[in-house]
Amino acid sequence: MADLPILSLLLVLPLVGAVAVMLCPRDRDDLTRATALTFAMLTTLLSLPLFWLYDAQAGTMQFTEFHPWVASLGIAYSVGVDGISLLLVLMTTLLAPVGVLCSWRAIEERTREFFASFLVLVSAVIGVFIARDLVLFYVFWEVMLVPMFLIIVIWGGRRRLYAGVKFFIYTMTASLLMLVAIVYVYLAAGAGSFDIETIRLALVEHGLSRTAELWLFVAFTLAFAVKVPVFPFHTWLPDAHTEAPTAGSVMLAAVLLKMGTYGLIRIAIPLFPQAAATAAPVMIVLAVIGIIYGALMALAQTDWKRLIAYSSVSHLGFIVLAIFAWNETALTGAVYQMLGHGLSTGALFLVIGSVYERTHTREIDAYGGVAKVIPGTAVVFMFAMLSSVGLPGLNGFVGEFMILAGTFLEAQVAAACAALGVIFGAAYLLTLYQKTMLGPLKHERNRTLTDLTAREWSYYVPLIAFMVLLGVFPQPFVDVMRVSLRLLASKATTL
Amino acid sequence: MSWFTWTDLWMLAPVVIMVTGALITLLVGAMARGAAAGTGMTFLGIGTSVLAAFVTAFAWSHGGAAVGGALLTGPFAVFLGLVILAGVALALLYSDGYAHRMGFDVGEYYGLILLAGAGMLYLVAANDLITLLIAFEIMSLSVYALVAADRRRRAASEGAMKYFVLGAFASGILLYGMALLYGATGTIYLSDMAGVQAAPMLKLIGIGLMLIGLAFKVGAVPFHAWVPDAYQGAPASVTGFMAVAVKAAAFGILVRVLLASGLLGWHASETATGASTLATEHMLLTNVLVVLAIATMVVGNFLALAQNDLKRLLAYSGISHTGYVLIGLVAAMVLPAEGVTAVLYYLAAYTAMTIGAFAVLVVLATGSRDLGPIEDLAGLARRRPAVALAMTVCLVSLVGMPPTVGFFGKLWLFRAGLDAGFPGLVILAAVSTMVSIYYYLRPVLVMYAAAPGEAASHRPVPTAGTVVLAAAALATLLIGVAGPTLYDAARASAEALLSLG
Repeated sequence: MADLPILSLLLVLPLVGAVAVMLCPRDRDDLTRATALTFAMLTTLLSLPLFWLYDAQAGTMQFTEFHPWVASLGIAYSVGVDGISLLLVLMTTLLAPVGVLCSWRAIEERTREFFASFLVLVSAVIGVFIARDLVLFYVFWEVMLVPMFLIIVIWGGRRRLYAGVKFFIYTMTASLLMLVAIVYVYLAAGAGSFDIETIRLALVEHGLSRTAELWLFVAFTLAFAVKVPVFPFHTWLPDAHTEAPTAGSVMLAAVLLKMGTYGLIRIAIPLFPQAAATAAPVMIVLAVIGIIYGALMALAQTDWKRLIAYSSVSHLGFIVLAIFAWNETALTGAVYQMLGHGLSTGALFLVIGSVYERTHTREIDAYGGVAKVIPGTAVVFMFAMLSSVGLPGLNGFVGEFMILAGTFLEAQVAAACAALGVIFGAAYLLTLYQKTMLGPLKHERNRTLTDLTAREWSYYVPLIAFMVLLGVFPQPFVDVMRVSLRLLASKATTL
Repeated sequence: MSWFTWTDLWMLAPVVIMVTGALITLLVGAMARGAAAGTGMTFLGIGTSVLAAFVTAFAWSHGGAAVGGALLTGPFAVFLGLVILAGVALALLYSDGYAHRMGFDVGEYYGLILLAGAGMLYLVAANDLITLLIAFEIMSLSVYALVAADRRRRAASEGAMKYFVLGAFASGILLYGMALLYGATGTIYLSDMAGVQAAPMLKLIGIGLMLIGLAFKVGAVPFHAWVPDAYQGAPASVTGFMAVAVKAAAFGILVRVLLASGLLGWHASETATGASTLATEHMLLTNVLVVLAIATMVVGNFLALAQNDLKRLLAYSGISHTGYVLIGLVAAMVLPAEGVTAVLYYLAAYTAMTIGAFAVLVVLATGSRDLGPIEDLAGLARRRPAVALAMTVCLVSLVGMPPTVGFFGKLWLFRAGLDAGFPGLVILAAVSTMVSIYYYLRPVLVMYAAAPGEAASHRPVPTAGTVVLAAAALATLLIGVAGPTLYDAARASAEALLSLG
């Protein structure tokens, strides 16, 4: 078991699935869906043992694999997970079958291409979380763009072209400077290797000049900040999230945004700690602006999906805030919230997806009082919404609490302002719930709405179970990453 | 010592094979007509280039001067020779059917491609100035004629005429540079020039003029005026061929000329004598290359934004890629091994992805008309998902996205540029690439998101062209991932060249 290259299998399995899906006959959509689901489930099953096999006491990179790739330049296929990336990989693999299931009826044309793109996307995202080599990281980081782009522009909503192109250009533009920075830091470290940890140690040994370090930090952080997205770089997000099909929105919100925050804690801050310390006040201010601004924008939306998209801007602000506070509590909260936001916002997008499938409108005004007609949906929505708001007993509370507690130690004012965002969060989500679900039925045509099917329950139930589990019993998840986070925290002293 | 030996003949064999193939094709073409004759000639031509490739690999790999110093063989010449021959073979293969449909005189058409290939092969191994000029002209004249292969279209004649007039001018400048270089150094052998104590200014002007002549061929700004018209006017098959093969050959000899200047990789610390003049020369030449690179990247990428015609779009994209390769040459001025490796790798990468993109245009040409505006690709993904996917792979590689070969090509160029101390240039390349995302994305969008148009009809696509397309797309996708093979080969070729010189 120990010799089994689990991580490589996790990468390859969805790719094999993508090929298998493409080989299905064109007119057999049922077979296509079943194949995609099988491979997504297999990926999930294969990833589960990682949780128990991982030695959390050590907290180091485990399940490592190393194969020289371009040996003369020190580029290697080098993968591994520590407690942090492990949880993110698990979240990705858990959401893979969810993405397939929620597209079951929503995607009616070019089914093969859709599921193939989706599986390639899953593979690339897993790659980002397990890569230990900067070039390998960059490869996965970019590979992810193409399937996501296709998912938006082919199967998206009315303004899909605009949204897709905007998404692609924003993210790729920002990452190109990161590529230059990767090569530069490799040369500056002079270690003859692209391994992140090797480069870090080499940089600690013979430091960079302050200016060079700052520029490199900016180049990396820009790429990550666009992905997160941090406040002034967020404008692609509402469009992309709103126009993408449900599975695309779920993957975007739950997993892709976390690539940005993951990049910050794995690469940008540990490699350039002094520059990070210099930039921390700026980043914290931007994060707080993001929290408040995202919340206010969410309050003003009339489009259900767009509202949730803006709520992501606000929630990710919390995570960035905690990252730049950089103490163990705040970082634990940040990673915990990465998982939590994945679950709760993922679920919120799934709910609007389910409802949209039946009504084909995202306007909040088109609903009202539908809880009586579709009580199942209302219950699921309630869980997702309360988890997102941060109700104690559900996952959101644990993450937000740790973030605010950790941040308060470092930056009281910022933490206080951020706490304001929690209140706004309650305001826009509760209002949304009240406007769509509660009260008397507003439109007669909604009387015939059908409630969740068995297929839909099959992914809502596990998601809700995880929300409760993470909410009332956070210890096992915190334990997995505790030592890894301590090791990480020692690599920098931001703020 | 006899003036001509069997070894010399063996060294000349690749060129002789190509020329013989060209002559046979011309003869056959004069007698046989029709689609079947075209197919026959396709395979005759491919056979010729494959044979030439084998002979090249065996005869040239040991290296050293041959034929009384006229040729300088070795891994460098083999590497570029194989890239060129791959371009020739793929161009011949996708022309099967296309050449006949478009109403070309197939004998001439195939013969000229082979002849151009012979000239290019000769050019990358040329070691004396006379051979260089002859090879350069064999290549150029064949390509001028190929641009005008479609005699019925005025645009073709116009493109060919522009290319010819400007090209003749460039040849003249090249020749002038050669004369000055000879005057300055007293030798016609490139491999001897670096060591000669020469009149510095005269030598520098000579090198500079040769640089201009060759910059014209690779389409570097400000010597690029012919590129859009010639690329658009020429039939798609020819455009693809000249985009990759002419560029590879011209860059190959450009590297050799820079090496002959004795300034490649020159460091102030190494030589005490005459250090100050050499330092000035080195700085001048480097700066000229830097300016060329900047102008080429910026102009190529920004003008590509405004293009609507597919061939013209790819023409400007070709200019911008010349700009990227020039970064490798700039880097080579400081770090020759890294710079030349990056150049070689990029030329090979560019061949794969560009031939692929043009193969799409060739297989989709309807009747006797090439695809025009980008909208002609509308809805291709619905009607022909495989072709659309292959085109996407090639375009994504042209942008430089991983895991394609185009990404690795850029990575090595960036590495060489940064290592050599040109961060500004590399950042500019990254910014230019950002600009390029937009115009490479447009065809992808049109293929995937627009409703099917006329060109995406159900007419069966020609097999030969599809094979080329599949091969190019697979190569684009796999060469980068499949590990360091190509990089190591490029590196070994570069190092062998530098040790020989």
